[in-house]
Amino acid sequence: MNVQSETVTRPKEDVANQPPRLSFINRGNTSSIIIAVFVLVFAVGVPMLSPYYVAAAGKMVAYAIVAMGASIIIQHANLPSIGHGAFFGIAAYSVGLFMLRGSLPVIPALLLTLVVTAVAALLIGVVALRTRAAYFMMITLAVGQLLTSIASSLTEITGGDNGLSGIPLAEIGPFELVDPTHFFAVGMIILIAVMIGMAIFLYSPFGYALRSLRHDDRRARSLGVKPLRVRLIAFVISAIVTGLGGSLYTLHVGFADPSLLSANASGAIFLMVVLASRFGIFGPIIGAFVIEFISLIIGGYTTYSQLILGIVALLAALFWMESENKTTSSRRAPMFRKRERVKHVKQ
Amino acid sequence: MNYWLTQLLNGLSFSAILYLIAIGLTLIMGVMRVVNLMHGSGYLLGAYVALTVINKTDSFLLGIAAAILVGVAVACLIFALLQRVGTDLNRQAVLTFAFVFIIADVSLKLFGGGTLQIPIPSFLQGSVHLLGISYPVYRLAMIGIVAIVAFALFMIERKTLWGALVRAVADNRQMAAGLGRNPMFIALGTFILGIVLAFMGGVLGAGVFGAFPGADIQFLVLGLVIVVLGGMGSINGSLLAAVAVGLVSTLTKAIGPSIGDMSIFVLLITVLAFRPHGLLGRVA
Repeated sequence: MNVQSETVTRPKEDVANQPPRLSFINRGNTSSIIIAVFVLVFAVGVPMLSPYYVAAAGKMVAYAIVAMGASIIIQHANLPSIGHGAFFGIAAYSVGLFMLRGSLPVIPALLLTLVVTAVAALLIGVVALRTRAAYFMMITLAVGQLLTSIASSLTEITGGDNGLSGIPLAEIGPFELVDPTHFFAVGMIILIAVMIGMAIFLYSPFGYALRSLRHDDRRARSLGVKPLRVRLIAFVISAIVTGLGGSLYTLHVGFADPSLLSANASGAIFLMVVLASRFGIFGPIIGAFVIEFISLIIGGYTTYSQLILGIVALLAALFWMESENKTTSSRRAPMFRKRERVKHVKQ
Repeated sequence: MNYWLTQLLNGLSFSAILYLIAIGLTLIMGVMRVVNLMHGSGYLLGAYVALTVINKTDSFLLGIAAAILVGVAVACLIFALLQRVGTDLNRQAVLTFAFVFIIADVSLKLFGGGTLQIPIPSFLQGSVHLLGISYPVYRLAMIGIVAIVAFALFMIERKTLWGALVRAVADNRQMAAGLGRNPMFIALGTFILGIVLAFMGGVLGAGVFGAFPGADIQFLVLGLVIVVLGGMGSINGSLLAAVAVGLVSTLTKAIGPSIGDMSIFVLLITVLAFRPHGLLGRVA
């Protein structure tokens, strides 16, 4: 053995054995802070644009909320769900039906909608969460698409393929959700609340428990984490946030149809999360903005928005996305632990 | 009684097409560990390619040949792209789903939004009397062809060296490589076979069920349901599940159109609640 390796000394406090700092502002969250600043600039800047862009931006913000919800399962629990469109659609239909058929005011209708979404997530989760990885992906995709066909076949309740229209105009406090600027404001307030909530949630003990399950159940179990329970709770929370975005979107457009639940919609939500997940916990916002920008703004100029989305996804899969086994080592590590620094003492 | 016999045969012919789709998914899943989300697009593409060629040349066989050629080309392309993407599930999903978007949009532009049917070749037109009912020959031929395909696949998997290699690669890729077999070639062969079977599903199925926008997702999802129900990587399980899904969906649709899809949903949830690894799946 050479002398060099024996002279390597650790710094006085053993960094590796310290508990991780339970704070959001931490090393490795630079991109999250940049995104947060960007969202604030977006919130201030967009209302100065023309109404057409404000309307598009409102929808982008609604999808950002949806993507944040979906990211809890797809990004943080590492469970590839291509079925989150189902929760978007379930929330859209329930809020529409509560207001249209139940004649409820907005706030109770929204709260009941979130309860309905949570119950649906619980039922789907109990079955789907017994599986992992590819199996989970297949089941969520199948369940979402089957719910789509159910939504289009229950003509008396949902209006079938023609969709559910005539949802009453909604007002939350001084905001009328039909108006693009008001909708943008409401969406922005909720998005910022969701962002703050996510930062707290993911750095809570539960958030750590959830991420401890990313790769190996056994290790997490040995620390007292109950895998199914933790995943189920995360699945329900994820569905509730997704449903919140979905119901807001529906109240704005006043319309819900089966395509909201479809595999295409779920695939787009999946794309929003995985395309930008390397930007950290707020990455899905960027993903949602980009994907919705493609389908709203570019889709407004050409009829090929699906094709463009496909090409973007193809290029992203080939050149942009990182493989999971690469990311476990260094890039996302600061969420869990600080890198050990080894000092070389020269003689 | 006769009505139900007809529905039973309708169900079986639907099962036949579903089997062609699902068996490819199962093989690709088992050997390559890839969820091929563009598998349903294979149905659509196969149907449209065959339709174009048949309309041009009036020859059903040329249509089949063209569909096989395009199927092999598409399979090679996607296989090459999958090699670049590697083993990450999310990247594979994004890559294959990208093709769903691309194929759906391009074929919508080229073939429109209506339901197109492949003209049935003259020697398969008409119907035969069978057990007191009159039933279309083409649907019977579908059941027959797929039964032969299923039997052939079963025999290849069990009795031939190629089948043994496929099983070896599915079980342990490194070990198979260690025995001097290149797993890449076996994976490529399986992938081509799977995609071509999906294309054949489109060629055979479009004569009855038609090719229309949304058929890709519909058949993908039914295929996924069958793979999940049958058990991951189980060829016999896929056959069993394909028959079950085809019969259940057709028979319940005969009772009431709106409960058709719900019944598959209920079937899926019930089976998974009691057997999370599928009917014939092995516990990993």
